[in-house]
Amino acid sequence: MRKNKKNTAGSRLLLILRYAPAVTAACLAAGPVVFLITGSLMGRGELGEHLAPVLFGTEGFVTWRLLPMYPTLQNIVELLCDSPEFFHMFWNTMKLTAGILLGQLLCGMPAAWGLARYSFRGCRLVYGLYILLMLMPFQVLMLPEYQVLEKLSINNTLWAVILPGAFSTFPVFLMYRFFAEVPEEVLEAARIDGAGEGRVFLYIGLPLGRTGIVSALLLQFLECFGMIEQPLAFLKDKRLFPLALYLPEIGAERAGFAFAASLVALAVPLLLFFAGSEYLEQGIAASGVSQTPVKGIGKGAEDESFLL
Amino acid sequence: MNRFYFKSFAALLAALLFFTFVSRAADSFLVTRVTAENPSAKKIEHIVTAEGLVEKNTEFPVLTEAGCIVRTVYVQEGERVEEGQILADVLLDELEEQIQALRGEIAVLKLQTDAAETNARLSKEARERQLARAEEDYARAVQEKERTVQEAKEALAAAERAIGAFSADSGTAEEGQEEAIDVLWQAYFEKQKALAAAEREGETNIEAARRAREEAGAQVQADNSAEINRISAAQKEKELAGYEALLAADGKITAPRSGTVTSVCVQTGQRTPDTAAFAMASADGGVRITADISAADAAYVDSKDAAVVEKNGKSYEGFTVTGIAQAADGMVRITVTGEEAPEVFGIGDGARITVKKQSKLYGTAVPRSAVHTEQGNHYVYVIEERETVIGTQFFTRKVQIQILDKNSSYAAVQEGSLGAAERVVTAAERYIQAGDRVRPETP
Repeated sequence: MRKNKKNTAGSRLLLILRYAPAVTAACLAAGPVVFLITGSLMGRGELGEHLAPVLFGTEGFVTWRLLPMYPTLQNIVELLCDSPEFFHMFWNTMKLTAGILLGQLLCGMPAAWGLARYSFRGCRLVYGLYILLMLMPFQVLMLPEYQVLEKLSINNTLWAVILPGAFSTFPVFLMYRFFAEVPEEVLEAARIDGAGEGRVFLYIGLPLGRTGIVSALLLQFLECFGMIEQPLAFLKDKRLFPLALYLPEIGAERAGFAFAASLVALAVPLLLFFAGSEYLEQGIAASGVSQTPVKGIGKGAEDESFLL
Repeated sequence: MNRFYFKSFAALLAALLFFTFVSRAADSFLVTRVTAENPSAKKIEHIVTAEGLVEKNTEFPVLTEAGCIVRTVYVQEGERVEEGQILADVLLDELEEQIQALRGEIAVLKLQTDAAETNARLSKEARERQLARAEEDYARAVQEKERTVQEAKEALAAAERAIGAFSADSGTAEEGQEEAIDVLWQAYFEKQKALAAAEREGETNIEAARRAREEAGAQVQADNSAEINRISAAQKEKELAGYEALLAADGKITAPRSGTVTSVCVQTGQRTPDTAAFAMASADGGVRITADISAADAAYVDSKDAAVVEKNGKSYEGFTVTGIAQAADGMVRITVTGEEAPEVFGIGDGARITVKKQSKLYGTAVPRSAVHTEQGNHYVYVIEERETVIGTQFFTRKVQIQILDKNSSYAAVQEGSLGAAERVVTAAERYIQAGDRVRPETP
């Protein structure tokens, strides 16, 4: 009995020691979110006391409380009821994101299917270019993109952000992975049953590659929702700015409002993240796993071996 | 996909969409709506208004026959009466007695006049006769003198010739002859004396006749009693005519023209005086209105300025400021007079006086409602456009100004402080400060 008790205590200690770093890291990671929630519920005076060194340049350090001393919904109410500029930029963000995702569905998805399922001359080269473009940072592509957009006379319009985003290569890459895993036998059976290539894509490719499509769209949504560089480079009119450019412009004297705005801005992708976390995990796993062709998949999958 | 979170995501988007409309509506509701105008060149018109009182401009007496006993007085001081309105009446019986007495006096006077005239005529005739007789006596005295003197002269001449003849005949003097010549000379001297006596007597008679003639022609003592009686009778007749007229009017004393009774000089039961029975004021000679204004307003009123008088909701032009004088409590009393519609203005009536005066043309003027004052400094809010994330928005900016002239509507501003294109906030639905977001509306 005594031995069993010792074993139990030891196992508990081990358990605590094992999870303590994870819990500590999780708490630290959740810190900003707690910071946002608490700050959005604080009044201007209380925020001024805590953030005086940052806001007013006084000596000392920023202090904080887990719970506000004088909680108020003033900031939330002001945000929701008296800040049309916030909503204007929020819907600008949604327009950009929706446009980009729609473009990726219309262009990226067929491209990924084609690259994954069809073998043609230059297929590897094209896919290689996709990968190459995906690896290029935005700073490299900014100038040529700007010149192209200027030629198209769509600079300083939402299309200047939507069009380059719609032809982004990362979702093609991600969807490619999932389309490549569709068994060739299933496609052949469909063809034998008389299905054309379009029907094969629509009724077999899309359902079987749904995980990849959803995960690609989710990841792109999260990226587009917070993008800063592209709007900053291609948009001059403030009326077209997305929310990511608005939040930094909120003055220090409206810190509480900034906290509330950030909280609402965080809630949108957070809920979408939770809604599609299952797909996201698979998508992230797919984008990070070894590029070994899955047994039994099509020709395209075999062609990507050059990357390994 | 996790349905719960996906529905939550959708609900959040729906909520944000809802609050988008809410915030837009709230913004539209909460943003202060203002009206704005551009500064303009304008003459500042100073309008001074004051409540005034109509005062008497011309006063006149109401006369009636003196000595009548007043039966009733119908008006009192300050009462406005119309032309022909009864002011008082007198006792008719007593009036008739007075008339009868007057007629008797007039008849006596006429009789006395006739008697005096007859006496004067007879006296004149007697005097003329006496004068004629004196003239005759005088002429006779002159003739008698001439005759007696002539006879004395002839007798003297005969005595002289007798002496001459005697001397020529004798040649020498003898004792008997000397006596004769002495007699002649004696006679001669007597004739001389007789001539002198005749001349003296003649002169005396003439003088007496002349004096008698002068006395006869001298004026007798003046007798004007007839004329006096005639004049007295005429006066009495005039007085009688007044009484008869009063009687014909049933003893009623009426207002000769419209006006206001300013003084009542008769009392019931008392006799009417020989002075005015009533004093009245009317606007026949023009309307006179006085009003007190502040010293600040008085700076914009000058003598001979045109004025408009408003009474009973109707305006009357043609009035002129005729007097400006200090009044009590630091106020200034202005007087306006005019000839317009005198029948409308009764003494003591209230009337609104308006005097307008225009300044020179100022290059920049703003509505007075746009001007704010802080510690003696004047400023206005102008609207400036700014491009924001939700489009063009309007914000207020404070501009200090210097006021050159002002009235209740506009203020002339020192040029240079405001541009012609600036939109100056003239009214706001709530309190505004510099930097406030506003929504301009067309006034």
